[in-house]
Amino acid sequence: MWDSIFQGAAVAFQPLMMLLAFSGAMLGIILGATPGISATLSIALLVPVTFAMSPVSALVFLGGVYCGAIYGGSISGILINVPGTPAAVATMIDGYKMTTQGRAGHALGAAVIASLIGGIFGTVVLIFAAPLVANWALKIRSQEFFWIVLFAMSTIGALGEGSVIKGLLSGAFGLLLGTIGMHPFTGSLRFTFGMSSLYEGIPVIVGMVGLFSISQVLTLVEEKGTDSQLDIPEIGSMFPGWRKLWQMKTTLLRSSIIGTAVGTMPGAGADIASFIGYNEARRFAKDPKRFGKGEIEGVFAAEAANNAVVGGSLIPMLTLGIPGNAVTAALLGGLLIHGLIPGPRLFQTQATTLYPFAFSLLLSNIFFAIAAFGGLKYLARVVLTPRGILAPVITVLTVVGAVSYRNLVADIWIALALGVVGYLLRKVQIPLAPIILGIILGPLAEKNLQRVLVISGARHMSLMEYFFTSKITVVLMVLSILSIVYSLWREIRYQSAQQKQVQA
Amino acid sequence: MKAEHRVLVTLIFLVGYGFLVPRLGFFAATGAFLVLHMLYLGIRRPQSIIGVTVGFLAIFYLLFEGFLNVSLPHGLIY
Repeated sequence: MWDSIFQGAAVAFQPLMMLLAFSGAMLGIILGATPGISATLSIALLVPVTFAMSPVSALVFLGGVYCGAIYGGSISGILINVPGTPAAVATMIDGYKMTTQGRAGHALGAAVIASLIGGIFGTVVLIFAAPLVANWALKIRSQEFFWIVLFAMSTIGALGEGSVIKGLLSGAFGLLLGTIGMHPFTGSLRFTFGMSSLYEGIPVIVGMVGLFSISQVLTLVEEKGTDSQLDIPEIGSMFPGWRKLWQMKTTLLRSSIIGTAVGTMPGAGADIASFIGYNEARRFAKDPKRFGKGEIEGVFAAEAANNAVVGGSLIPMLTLGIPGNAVTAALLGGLLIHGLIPGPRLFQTQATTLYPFAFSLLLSNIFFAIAAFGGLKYLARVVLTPRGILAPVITVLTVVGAVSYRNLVADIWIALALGVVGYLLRKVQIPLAPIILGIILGPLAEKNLQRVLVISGARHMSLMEYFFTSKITVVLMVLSILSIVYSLWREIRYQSAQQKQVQA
Repeated sequence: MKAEHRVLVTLIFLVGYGFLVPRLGFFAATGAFLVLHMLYLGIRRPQSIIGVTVGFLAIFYLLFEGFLNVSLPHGLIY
């Protein structure tokens, strides 16, 4: 294992790879800081740019974007109280308060340092845990994988704040969309409406850019196009001081662990992680009342957690092929395009690709920190971009992404249609990320189910009998049921809380 | 209400853009779309409009046709 690690490091330190990691990180910061472009959107928009790159290069570049974007969201959150990415909402609570108190620089500095520490922590865990999980993953065959997907889908929404049912609905819709195209075994066409462009289903990249980008464009134009801030606040010195950093060591460690753990769970992403990190820091604080009034610890807690998610979310994605959140779902789409089929075997067959990738993440973290400390005064100006420019630009990037995949103009229309659907779903607060999970995981699950059906039939076992032949499957089935039960309980609590609000 | 109006008009812009890409070619359609949509959304500064349009067209040209060798749809104009 150490061999592979050193080899991976060697590749990551090649000049081209470092350049890719750095440019990815820079682009990530800029895109993440732009309100209206989330980390998921950034990845979705940039996957087409990687078409001509080798898989390793593409991963290194996109990994850099991932790291940079999750950090970048904090910039606009802190400076103008508008989150650049959903992951920055918790950072904003104290971060923006600090700006109003004239301490924007310290808030920004805290965000960088926390993101750096959280990011490195998550990546280190990834480097050491991934091979272990991958080894265990060798035991996973068709039926286990099928149940892993089911379990993953059942956890969607269970950890968040909103309605669980909406999350599950959205996941189910995604599974439905995933059935479009030729049936994997029988070849019969499903839901293609006679359009040859749908014979292979909705291409993942087209689905991603349509669903996320176009719906975002439509959401953006709801407000007037030119209402931008006049200028960003004075930034000043960013370094909060060594003493402060030392005081924050527990918070940083706790948030990093939280972020990594939450990242590994399929239903939860950086936004949830940052909130849990923030809330836990407040819970353990000597004086919780300081939070919300410009307490720098809030920024540290939130940002360390959300960047730790990067490493955590990549563990299930690289070892099992199950995305840990929306961003890794987008990344997974990118992998598929480069011919890397996600699944339990990925790590075994592609270690030469994945280890350099993991190392490049370490570098990307360092790079975004350098870029931030070096040039934040200039980078931060992107938060002022008016919607009137953002909306058309995102549209163009979307169209480019959609049409360049297989040179089909029809893909533009698929993307647009999905975009309208996505826009409507946003209006009723149905999350979009589970749809992508469904589109990617659905066909995989179905293929495996088919195999299971064939095998169990050949052995004259019923499906359930066959499931019970594997301990792992049984555990997953139980977990899935528990997850559904927990989700129902959460939903009942959520609905009754909503009722009380309406009555009050 | 103003918001719905903007969303619908933007949708029309998007559909129009989709129509024009294969017919006029990606670069022409994108140029027209960017300028018109920005104007509609209220951007008035000529530097912004021209800068963004020329900038992105240039980036796409260099990136896709030049560097990455991925061809974008061509049509009547370009």
